[in-house]
Amino acid sequence: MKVGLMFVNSGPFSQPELLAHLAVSAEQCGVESLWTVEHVVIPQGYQSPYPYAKDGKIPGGEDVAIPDPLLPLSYVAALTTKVKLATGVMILPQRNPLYVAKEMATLDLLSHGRTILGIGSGWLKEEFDALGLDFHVRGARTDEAIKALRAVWNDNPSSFHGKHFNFGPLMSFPKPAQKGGIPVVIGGHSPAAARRAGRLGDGFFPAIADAAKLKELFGIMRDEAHKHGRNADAIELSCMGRANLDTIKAFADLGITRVVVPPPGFDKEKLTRGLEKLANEIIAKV
Amino acid sequence: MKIGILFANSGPLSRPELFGQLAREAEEFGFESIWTVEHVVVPQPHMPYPGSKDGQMPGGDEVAIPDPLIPLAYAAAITTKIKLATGIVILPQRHPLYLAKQLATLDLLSHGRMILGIGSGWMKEEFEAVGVDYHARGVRTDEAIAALRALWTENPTTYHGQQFHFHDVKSLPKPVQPGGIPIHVGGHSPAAARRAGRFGDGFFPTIAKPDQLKEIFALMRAAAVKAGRKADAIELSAMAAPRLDAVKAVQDVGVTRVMFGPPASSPEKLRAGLEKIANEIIAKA
Repeated sequence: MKVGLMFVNSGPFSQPELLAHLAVSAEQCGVESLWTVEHVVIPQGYQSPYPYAKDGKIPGGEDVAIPDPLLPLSYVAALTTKVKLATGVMILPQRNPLYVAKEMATLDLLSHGRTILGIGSGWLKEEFDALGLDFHVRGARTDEAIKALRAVWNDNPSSFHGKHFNFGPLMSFPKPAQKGGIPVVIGGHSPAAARRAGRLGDGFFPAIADAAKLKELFGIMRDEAHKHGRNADAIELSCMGRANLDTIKAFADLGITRVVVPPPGFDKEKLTRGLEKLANEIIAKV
Repeated sequence: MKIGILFANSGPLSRPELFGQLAREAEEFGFESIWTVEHVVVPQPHMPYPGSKDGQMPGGDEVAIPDPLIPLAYAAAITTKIKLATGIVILPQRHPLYLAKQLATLDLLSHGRMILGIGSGWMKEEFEAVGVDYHARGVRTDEAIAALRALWTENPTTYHGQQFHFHDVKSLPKPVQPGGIPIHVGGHSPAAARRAGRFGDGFFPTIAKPDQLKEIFALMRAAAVKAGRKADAIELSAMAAPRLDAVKAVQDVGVTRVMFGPPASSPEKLRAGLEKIANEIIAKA
């Protein structure tokens, strides 16, 4: 079982000293991957319900620091050599895939092929409104963007002709270090996310820990993969969880190969101790 | 005189080993700044490049031009003093909500070492590929500058323009630099000079001829005065040949920062080239 850390860019980890300490210590402790989160802006007084909390509000409140999800990973790339650098998630339909393709290829080159692109289709309608984008076509934009990214990463020259994105032939260099492009992991725990992962994902990452719900989603994902002639077993399964051996064993029984947990502390000392504990009590045993 | 290195991210410098070496050694030898360039894509075919006689881009259309921001975060992690700059980001092709967040993140990661150099773009086909109206690039550039400054200094932030509109959004973190990140307007057209006069914290024509610079600085100053701004507060950068006499010649027309291309693209020659500039120019200019 691979163990990753979530939320590595937000709140106190927006400060470079704590981010550096987290990244270097996590790598030493055998943490497999570091995952960043994204909201480019939080519209004041938003009404769309945050899907990961009962009160429907983003943890930390509207004034929480949420840095860009890619730049902290580039900073970490310079300080580490093994740990994977991942977004969890980038809100893909809000961005233009030509920029995402170039940014990710750059990061993959700088990190010698350590990147994973976790994507989501977004839930905060007011954030789409601020960007002048139609919230209701986010699904179609997400699907097109994934295909466009792969065209840019793998083809030269590259072309893509969709309803929302339309380009080419064009050149985009550098290409990613990873052959075949950067793995695209689909985040989210809706049936739509499960189907997208089955159709288009290199991985599926519902950021929940409920085993029954995960099992149901994986079933939907597998059905959709079969429908599209894809090998469902090749789609890597991740989930959110707590660093607890019994829970992790239950996840392994569902076919999950990566569990992503919150950072075990929010200052240097607690992080150091928490990561050592994670290494000895979990990573060494799973 | 401040000395910077332009084209810090492109071609062989797209590789982390060489880029990391450039960032570290430029800092070690007293360079003030490194500057990255941008083309998100190079469509086939495209308009002639205005910076060369044959219309070809330096290095050709397949040259590696990494994203201009991602390498600066990498450099922030391995340096402590050198300024990190874009020269330039094609501003009207991007949405200011993203750029504001990206630059604020970089400013935080680098402890306030960012400079945002911007241009309005020239390659029509690149705008078409990203789905942005080429003919609106001037107004988009002006609005994006205003929107960036609002996002960097106000919480919540509201901006209502012709191209960008948003109301009471929270964009945190803010940059470390009080008042936001300095915006240097690149380009050597009269439109760029007027934009620098009206809105710039700096003006950066990527040319090296003192006579041309003098002319375009006068245009910039006239625009600043007309806008009720203090022209002397607008920092002037330019290119120059890497020789002391060439640097002094642009200094005489008011330039306080010159930029050179990277002196070499192999590890040994890069170090030797940076050291030579340090001894022959930085120590004396």
